[in-house]
Parts: sequence; structure tokens; C-alpha cells
Amino acid sequence: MHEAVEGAHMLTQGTTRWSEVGATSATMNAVSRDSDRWRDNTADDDQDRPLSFFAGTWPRTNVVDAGASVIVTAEVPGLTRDDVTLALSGNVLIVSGERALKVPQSYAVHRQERTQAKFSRTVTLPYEVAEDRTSASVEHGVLTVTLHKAPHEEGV
Amino acid sequence: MVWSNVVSILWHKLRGSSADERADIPVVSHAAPVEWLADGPVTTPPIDVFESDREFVVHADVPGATPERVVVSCDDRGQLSLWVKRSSLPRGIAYSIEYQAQTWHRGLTLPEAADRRAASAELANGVLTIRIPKRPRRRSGVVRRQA
Repeated sequence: MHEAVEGAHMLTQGTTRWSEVGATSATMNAVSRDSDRWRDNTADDDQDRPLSFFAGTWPRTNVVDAGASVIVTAEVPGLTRDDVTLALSGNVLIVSGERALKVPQSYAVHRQERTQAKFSRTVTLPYEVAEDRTSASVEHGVLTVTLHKAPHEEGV
Repeated sequence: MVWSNVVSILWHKLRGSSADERADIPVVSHAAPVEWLADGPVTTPPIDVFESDREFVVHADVPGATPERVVVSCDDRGQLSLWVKRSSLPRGIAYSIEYQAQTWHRGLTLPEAADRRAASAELANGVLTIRIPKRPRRRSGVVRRQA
């Protein structure tokens, strides 16, 4: 079982690069926002900050079948449970929410690489799960959802 | 997929916690030990850098990091560096893996105006925040050329 995880690591080494691509896109967004700001003369207006076009890949999500349960984890730095909505239907879990990063007033921006996004990720689980046995937490910027098999899936 | 039976999960119904943890991180004068490099790939975390009249602020996204695995250093030459290690994944069959155990590293050169010895750092909800106050301006800093 452990080998499967190790193997998956090797296969997905490249995906860690997405953070860098996302960072680049955030920088490009910042550049385009700054030029818009210059054109429209709307200083200090955060409303027009474009949301990342990598929203479909944020937050990065892992799905691991731990035997008795399936564990879904997602990287949501800076977010708390109030910022994340979970929806469940059969064997599909949807994680959604919004991460809006405000520049504090009277601060100049030198770098802005962190992703801000309205996000929604759909996770297909290996089996249907029992909603009432689901638990979830957000700790250290990581969302962890633990789901258990639905009664009619037991022993399958 | 029929979505008529979608159940929106309300957090208060769920078991589990959401600790709003906040921990001070000491800023040391030496960089992280080399053995930190040995474990997993090293990547750069995305950062935001802001500046006000009084301070510089650096925010870095390091989800999954715990305080004891963060090293922030700032030496006399103004080299600020952060090292963060994230531990491994839960054991089991991997259905979909988009991130893994890793080490984050980022180095920044602080400007002259920064008070290097007064830097402070804090880790909260997977975001590392480093604040470096500015030195008070000295009048003698202006050099006038003699006519």
C-alpha cells in the first residue's frame, strides 16, 4: 500500500511546479492590474483585482484511500473553516470558497505571488460515503476531510 | 450526475476542529542546517512583499507547516532566508496526489532601511509572516557635495 503512494510521488513530481506557474500568473495579474490602475486612475481599489485563472487547480488536493476511510486534503493557507464550503453527493465531494488577499492600507506592493481565487474543486471518491460519519478540519492551512464508506458499500 | 440530492455540509454539524493557531518563530542569525536539504524536493513558496513608512512585511504560503519545522534567519548583511519543511502524507492508496512532503526555501536581500536585528516572524494558519521594521532616519544620511 505504501509503495503506491511512493510511486505516485514520482509520477507527480512535476505537479509541484504548478505553484510556480501560479505564482507567475499572479505576478502577471499584478502587472496587468497595475497598468489598469494607471490607466483608470483607481488607486487603492482592491475590487478590480483579477482572480487567478488557475482557480481550477487551486487548492492542490490529495485523495488517499487509507483503508477504513478515504482522506481528502487540500492546501488552503490563510483560510479557516468559515472560508470553505463542502458539498457531498454520493461519491462526489465539492470543496469551494474564496480566498481574497487584501493589501493593507498605506502599504506599497513589491511582490504579489500568492494566489487569490474563487475556487471550486470536485473530487470523485472511490466509493459512496456516509454523510453522517464525515469529519473535517482546517489546521495549519490544510483542509482535511475524512469520509467513511456508506453502509450499502460495506464489504464490497 | 444528478444534483438534486446534494448535501451541503455545515461545519457546525461536522466533527473536527479549526484551531486558529498562531505561533511566534524566532529569527536567528544563521541559516538552516544543511540536513534540511536532504529530505524531499526544495521549491519556492509564493510570497507577497509589502512596505509601509515603518516596516517591510513578507507573507509566505506554507500550508501544512508547523512552528518547529520553520527556520527564519537574518544575518548582518541583510540576507533574509526562510526554510520550511512539511511532513509526509497519510499512508494508503494514492488516488490523486497533487502535492507531497517537501522543503520550501526563499531568500531575500533586505534594503538598507531595514533594521535587520529587529525582524520578527509568526506562523498562523499555514502562512508565515515576517516583519522587518525600518530604521529611524538619520539626518546625517544626507551627504552634500561641497561647492
